[in-house]
Amino acid sequence: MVSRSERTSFYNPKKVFISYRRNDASGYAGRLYDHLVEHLGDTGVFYDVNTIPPGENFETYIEEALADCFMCIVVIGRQWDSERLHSEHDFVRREIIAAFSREIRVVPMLFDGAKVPEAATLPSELAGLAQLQAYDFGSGRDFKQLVTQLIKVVELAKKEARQRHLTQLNKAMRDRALPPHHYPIWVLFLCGIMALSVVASGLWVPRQLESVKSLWVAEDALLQGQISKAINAFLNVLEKEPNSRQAKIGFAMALFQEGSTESTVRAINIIGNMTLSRQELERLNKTMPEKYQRLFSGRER
Amino acid sequence: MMIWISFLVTLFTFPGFVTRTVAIRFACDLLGVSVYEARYFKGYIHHESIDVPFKVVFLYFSPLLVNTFLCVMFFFPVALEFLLDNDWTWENSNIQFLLTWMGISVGVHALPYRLEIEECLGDIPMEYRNDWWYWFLDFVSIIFIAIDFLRKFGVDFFYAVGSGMAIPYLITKAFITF
Repeated sequence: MVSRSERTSFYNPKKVFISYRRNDASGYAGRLYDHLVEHLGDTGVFYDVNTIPPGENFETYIEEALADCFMCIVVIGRQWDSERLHSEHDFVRREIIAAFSREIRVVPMLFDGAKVPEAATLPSELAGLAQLQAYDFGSGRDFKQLVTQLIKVVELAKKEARQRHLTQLNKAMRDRALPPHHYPIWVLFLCGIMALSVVASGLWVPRQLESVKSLWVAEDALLQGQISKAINAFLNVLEKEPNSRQAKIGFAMALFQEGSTESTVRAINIIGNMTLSRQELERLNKTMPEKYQRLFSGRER
Repeated sequence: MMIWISFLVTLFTFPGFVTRTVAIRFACDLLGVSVYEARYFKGYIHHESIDVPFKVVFLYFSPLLVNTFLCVMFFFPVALEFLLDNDWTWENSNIQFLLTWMGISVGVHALPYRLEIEECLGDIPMEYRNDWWYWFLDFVSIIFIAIDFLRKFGVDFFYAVGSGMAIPYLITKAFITF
């Protein structure tokens, strides 16, 4: 494994918490739960009736559950008694305070014409609830359509929570980070050698490219029967690359094709010291006079 | 047996192995991603988590880019030597042999590993997973996972030599034609 990203130090919350009063809008809360489960799955929604195992401490369980949530939906019906919020033992109060303190997105959801209580009637810790944009579900007639809108808010809250989680995580880890662009000396040394090799090969390449270009020009000229052009181009290659077999063979072919005794002797001198492959010999034989072909037959490698 | 072969290959190609790790570290520095631990001989970089898809993909594919680039650079003069059909001898071709070794050593460590591909896909945040490019990335990943399966048949070596020879040839052809 070459790289590994940090994921584990902070917990990334993944659930939606539904806060409601059992004697108020539990029916609506239940419907809401069913719709949210369809979208987020069984484990994506916290709804006390279904989620708290028998025998668990109700109070601690809810507080721990909120730590696992990125959004808290407060279901408010007509019977949502805001007076009870002043009691420190009220669970809804505790749920909302815990949600605020964890900086979770809180969304009031209104049913049956209920309204968000005014700030003046709320305890100071919950005064923020009155400022929040609420979702009015009315009598729940367009429930499905409204839930679809709500899902968009859920997705947004999820994204925010993930971002917050990453920011916290990265902030905590930043102290441990290595300074950027600081590498051990031996790594720099190795990179230096690599860079030098790249530069060296880069300096070599233009000359070779010119040679390849001349070689291809020469091969083309030879094919088209432009012998003097081919000879000049092959000579140009051999000046720069005296070990090029292809240039030597092409040059010899061009000289053979020229036909003069002087050129033929020059061509024989060029290929005389080479160990030729069968293909190279076959190529040469296309222009080499027959009497010389016998000299080379059987000498291929 | 396979472990020993793999160890020997890594030893023989250590410049490429280190370059691969340096490429990830360098990509992290370039993208402003914090690095907590870097072990170049173990090929291990521990960095902060990322949620920007471009950064995730760039980071996991940086060895492919850097090692392939270096492989092509080292192989360029060698490939041109082949085009010119130059005679190679131990006495006169030291630099060519050195460049061939370096080209192969960086080239064989260019392709991403299956685990990296899976981590790359896993690191892309959920909200981007319905985008068209994610499906494209998925498709590319399948190709790389198939290539990973061919590792024991020397696909890394063929990639190094193949890209090292073919890319310079194509560049030369383009340079001469235009």
